[in-house]
Amino acid sequence: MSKKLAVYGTAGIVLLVLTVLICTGIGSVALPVRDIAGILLHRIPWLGDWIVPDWNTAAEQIIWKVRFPRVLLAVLVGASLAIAGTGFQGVLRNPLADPFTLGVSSGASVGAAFLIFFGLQYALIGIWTLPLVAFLTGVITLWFVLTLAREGRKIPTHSLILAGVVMQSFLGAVVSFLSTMSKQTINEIIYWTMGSLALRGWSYTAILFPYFVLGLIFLWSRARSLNVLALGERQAAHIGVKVDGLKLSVLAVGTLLTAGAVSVSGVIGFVGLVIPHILRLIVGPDYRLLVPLSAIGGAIFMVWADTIARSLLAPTEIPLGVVTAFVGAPFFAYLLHRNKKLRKGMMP
Amino acid sequence: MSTFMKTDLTKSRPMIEVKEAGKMYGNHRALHAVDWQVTEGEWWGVVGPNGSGKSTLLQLLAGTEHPNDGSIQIDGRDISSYTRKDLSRMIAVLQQDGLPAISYPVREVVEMGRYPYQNWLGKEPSDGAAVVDKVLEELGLSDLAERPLDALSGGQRQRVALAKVMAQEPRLLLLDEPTTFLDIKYQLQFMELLSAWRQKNHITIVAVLHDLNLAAQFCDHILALRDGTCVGSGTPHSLMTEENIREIFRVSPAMVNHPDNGLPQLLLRREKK
Repeated sequence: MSKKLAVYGTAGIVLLVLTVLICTGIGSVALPVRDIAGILLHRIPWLGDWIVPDWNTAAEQIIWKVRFPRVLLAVLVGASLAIAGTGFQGVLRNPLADPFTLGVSSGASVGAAFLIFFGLQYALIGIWTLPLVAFLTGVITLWFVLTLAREGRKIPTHSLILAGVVMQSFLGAVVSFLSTMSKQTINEIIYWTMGSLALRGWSYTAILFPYFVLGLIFLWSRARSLNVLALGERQAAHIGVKVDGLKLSVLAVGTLLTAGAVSVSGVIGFVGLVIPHILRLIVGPDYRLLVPLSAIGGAIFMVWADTIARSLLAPTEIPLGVVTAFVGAPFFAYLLHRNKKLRKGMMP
Repeated sequence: MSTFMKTDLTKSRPMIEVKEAGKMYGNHRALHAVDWQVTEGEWWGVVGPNGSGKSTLLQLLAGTEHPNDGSIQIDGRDISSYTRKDLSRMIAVLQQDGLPAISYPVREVVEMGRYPYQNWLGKEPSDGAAVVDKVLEELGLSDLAERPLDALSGGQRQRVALAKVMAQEPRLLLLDEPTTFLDIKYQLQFMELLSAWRQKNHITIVAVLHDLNLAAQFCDHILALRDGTCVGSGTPHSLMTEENIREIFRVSPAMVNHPDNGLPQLLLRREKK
């Protein structure tokens, strides 16, 4: 296991670093990877002293003030959504669960939209208000979806997805309604419906960072319990897993990660679905590998998606949620089709 | 637990003490005032018709359900005073549906039996990997260790399920109709594996069994339930009489003695028209 993690983990991190360097260079002013690496390394204490700046300062401003924070935010958002999806799939033992399909993202966006509509985004506890309220509305949505989907003690795959879709379209309508009602803040709310990482700057990265780190540590520490849970809830209890506590805490942390991501970037779908699934095909079902590798995979996916969103039709930006949906929705359809065949065996 | 605790000193200590235990599901009384004692090292078969409360009794002993009245003591302490992990270090459960068709390799599934011994980093004080290797070896699963579970046959999968509970190193093993989905060859093989394990490690076994003939041949004692109450307990010889079987199951059998060991065996009779 640990050897496998070392191999795939190293490969993933190398890919991620390359992705960050390449995608930071892509834009209205194209910059070579060598310059970007230099500019970024130059910022690191001690190490930076060894690098002689041979690039122009305008490039450095673009990289450090504009592009790099955006790429880094994409890394955090993608990683957070992907591990949230991995966690949801683990406790619900359902390969189609993810923050978006469960309606948690939409739920979080309603809270965010309400705050913006009433101009309360910084009320009471400053920059933490938005993520907190997004978390609360996300939790309420998740509770609704799970209650709606439950049949006795079981939650069938298809009724879960159906319940998620119902909540999603209703809450999506609420957000759209709010943005119609609001005159001056219209653009800001619209961000939350389709997702965007434009014009975010360093402070947003700082908000999301602690969520991501704590969420990753927590979910990774529960990886063995999630593995055991794959045997079924009763069997897991017989081996010593506190099943109810595990389910509750993982759902809560997944929702918290989603709320954090939604409050900085809006609703971006399918990341938590596509990434864990691809990784399962590559490394197998072990959550001790899936949790950390999903973080890396989600980050890579999101950086590329955002690069496409901002550069394909430049200077017009495509909403990020549109890009991920173009990839994710067909993939979701494929999974649904495959799942029909594999009904009795839970995970692929 | 070290082995010396299980030897002579504690031979007659009660492993399980069920006192007046009852369980309700909604308005349905699944179990009613059951009194029962199991001494460490014994092998009990629990028999009775469908819906007689056998599985409920087993869930109470496993600690996954709680009695509405009465009490259950495991190794001298009330079952609710143990943490889930403590209980899982002592008690293992094997269900009739065995393991689901998941794609984890055999070794990792067996390793899951070590879960109650591991801390949150997945480390354990004793050598868990050695235990897993030994169990795989004993059950002839070493060659299948890297195969995914969903590529195995039903009989092999049930052997993996047994390997997993063996890796758990319990002192008490609870079995819920473990041979239901096996053909007769695997049924017998499975029971023999259990018997060998018990001889070696002196574990206590409580097995819900549908097959009375298997129960008579493998268990030292039999507990009979009907409609949620205990209607008899004793050795196979004393309990498995024509009269008792008629009383408990409402069928009239013909009883014979097994030619090898003289244990009571049951033949079914067709209804006379």
